[in-house]
Parts: sequence; C-alpha cells; structure tokens
Amino acid sequence: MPAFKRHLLLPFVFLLFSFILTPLVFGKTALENARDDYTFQFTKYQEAKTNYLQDKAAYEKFKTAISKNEAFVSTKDYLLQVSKLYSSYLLLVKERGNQINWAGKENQRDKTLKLIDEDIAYLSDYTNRTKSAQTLEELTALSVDLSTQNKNKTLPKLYKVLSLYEVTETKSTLNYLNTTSQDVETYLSNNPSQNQSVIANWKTEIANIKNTTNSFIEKSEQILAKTGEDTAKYNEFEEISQRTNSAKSTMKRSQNLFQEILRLL
Amino acid sequence: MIRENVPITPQTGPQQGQTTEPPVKQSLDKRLINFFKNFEIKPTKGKLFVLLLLSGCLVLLYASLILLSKKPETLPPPVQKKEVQQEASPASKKPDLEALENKISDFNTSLDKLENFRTNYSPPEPDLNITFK
Repeated sequence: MPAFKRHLLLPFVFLLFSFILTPLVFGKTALENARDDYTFQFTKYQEAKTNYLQDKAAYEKFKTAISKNEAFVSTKDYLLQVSKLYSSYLLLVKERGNQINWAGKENQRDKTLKLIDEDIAYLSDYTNRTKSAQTLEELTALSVDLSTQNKNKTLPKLYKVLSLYEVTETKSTLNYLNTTSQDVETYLSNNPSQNQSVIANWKTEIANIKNTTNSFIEKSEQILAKTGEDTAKYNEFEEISQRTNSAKSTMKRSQNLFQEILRLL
Repeated sequence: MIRENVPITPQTGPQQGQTTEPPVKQSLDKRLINFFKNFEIKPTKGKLFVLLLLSGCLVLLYASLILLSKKPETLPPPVQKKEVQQEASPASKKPDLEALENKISDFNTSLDKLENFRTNYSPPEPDLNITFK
C-alpha cells in the first residue's frame, strides 16, 4: 500500500524537522548560533582540507589530466570552504560585539561593524571569483589573493576590533562595579551596622580594586590611542589584552568581597 | 432519494419480510469505500485509528517540544524574584536588602561572563600556501 505509507511518512518528516529546527529557532541566542556555525564551518574546512591534500598528492604523483581535474575540484572546494570559515568567524566576532554595552561609545561600535562588514563583503566577492575559476592556476592565484588580504587587511582590522572590544567591555564592567559598590554604600549609610571596622576595610578594599582596575584600563587606552585609525598590530592588541585581562582579574576579586559584605548585612 | 446504480422507482414502503435499512447510510458507505479505493487505500478501522492516534501524538509532541524549548530571553525581573522569595520566607529580610542582593548577583554574573578576546576569539589560520609541483 504505497499511498497509505506515503500518508504515514509525511507526519514523520514533519516531526523530524520539528526536532531539528525547534531548538535552533527557540533555544539558542544569536551568539550561540554564530558559535555553532563557526564550529560547523571549521569541521567542514578540515574535511575539505583532507580532500584537497589527498588530490594534490595524487596529482603531483601521477600528473594526469584526470588527477589534475580532481585536484582542481578539491582545491576549489577547499578555497570556498576557507572563505566560509572566515565569514562565519567574522560573523561570530560581530555577534559578540552586540553583547557589549557600548553606552556612550556608539561611534566605536559603528566603527567595528564597518570594519567587519568590509571584510565580509570582500569574502563574498572572493567566493564569486573562486566559483568562476576554470583552472588550477587561477585557484593558486586566488589563494595568494586571500592570503594577502588576510595578512595585510583582515587581521590588522580584526586586532583593532578586538582591542576595542577588550577596552570597552572592561570599562563598562568597571562602571557596573562603581554603581554596585555605590548601592552597597548607600544601603550601609541607611542601615548602620555594628561592624564598622569590617565595613571600613571593605570600602578600602573595593576602592583599591577600582583604582587598580582603572589604572590597567588607562594603560590599555593609551596603547589603543597609538594604534592606527582602523588597524592595530598584533603586539599592540596583545599588550591591550594583557592590561584589560589584568583589570578583569582584579575586578573578579570583588566577588568575594561582595559576598562577605552581604553576610554582614 | 437517488442511489448510485439504482433505478428511480416510486417509494412504496418496505415489503413484507424485507429489512428496513436506512438508504442514506448505505449510500455514504459506498461513497466512502469508493473514495478510498480511488486513493489505493484499503481502509480498516484499525489502520484509520492508528493514523488518527499518530497524528494526535505528533501534534501534541510538537506543541510540547516548542513549549519546553522556549527559554526566556532575559532573566525574570528581580522584583518578581523578590516577591517569590518573600512568599517563601515570611520572616524575610528588608526589600531593599533583597534588591541589593539581586544587584550584586547580577554583577557577579556579568563578571563571570567576561572573556579574554585574544584567546577566545583568535582568528582561524587556514593553510593558504596552495602550490603544485
């Protein structure tokens, strides 16, 4: 009874799609989806690389027209996959930027978006050029093109973008620390406690954390100010990252202090 | 009443010894059987029941799946949380202290979410040295 089976099959297909799509649509944030996509593209990239290396070895060994064509097909596939990998990575970075509190720094947010979008546009054009390539020699030239773009344009822009992320997120967290500690102090002034010495020590500890954090941020901002308008070198990014991460570690010390003061209240 | 393949004759009532089958039901049965025959389905009550049951189950499964997988995009407002806590413990703390606790909790969560961009977002390094000997 094929018709009867066909009727039964439709609900099952519907159910299968529901299982696959529902978590994707409802269960994950945009950042999680971007991360998953990047992981997926990375897996596909590794597969494409394996095929490319195999066909390349076969072509270099046999040097036949067929092996050359196979090498052409797998190299093209590999370059297209590299392009997808970069695109998914840039989209992930872009999505991460949306999680940052840019209050008062909207111009910097717009700058990061512009820089990322420029590279996504380049990759779109690159994909079209790769798709229309007809020979292995063209693909070799295209790989040089992508490598040059990556080295001279994409990475310096990316270092700038990530440096801005580092500084902005650290600064916004320090602001958050300031308001939270201020709330505690307001509460303490409205509800005087017996443990005045503990509270005084708590205040000095928090003040130390704020000062140290601020000092790290200022240093990172000084380095950021020396970077290019739209680009940064890797060592600059590295230095900024070291300072901001020291600031973040310092701020994390406040977690225990806040728990401590809550026990007293 | 017109029946398929039955000549139109005046209704004179049932003859003696004849059963009084309702003509409408007979006609519907025939139509249903013809309908299923056209679709190459040989229906039995069991099969139809299973099909109906399966469809019902699928709809219920899909609905429950959507409901279960829906996560709140943001945390519930702290005020609501406070109300629940207050109900749970009548001898509770002052509301402003609970608000403060919630603020501190939110701040600690934001600290936990801080990332090192240099290590967590390092760019991919694909091999682009495409050369053939």
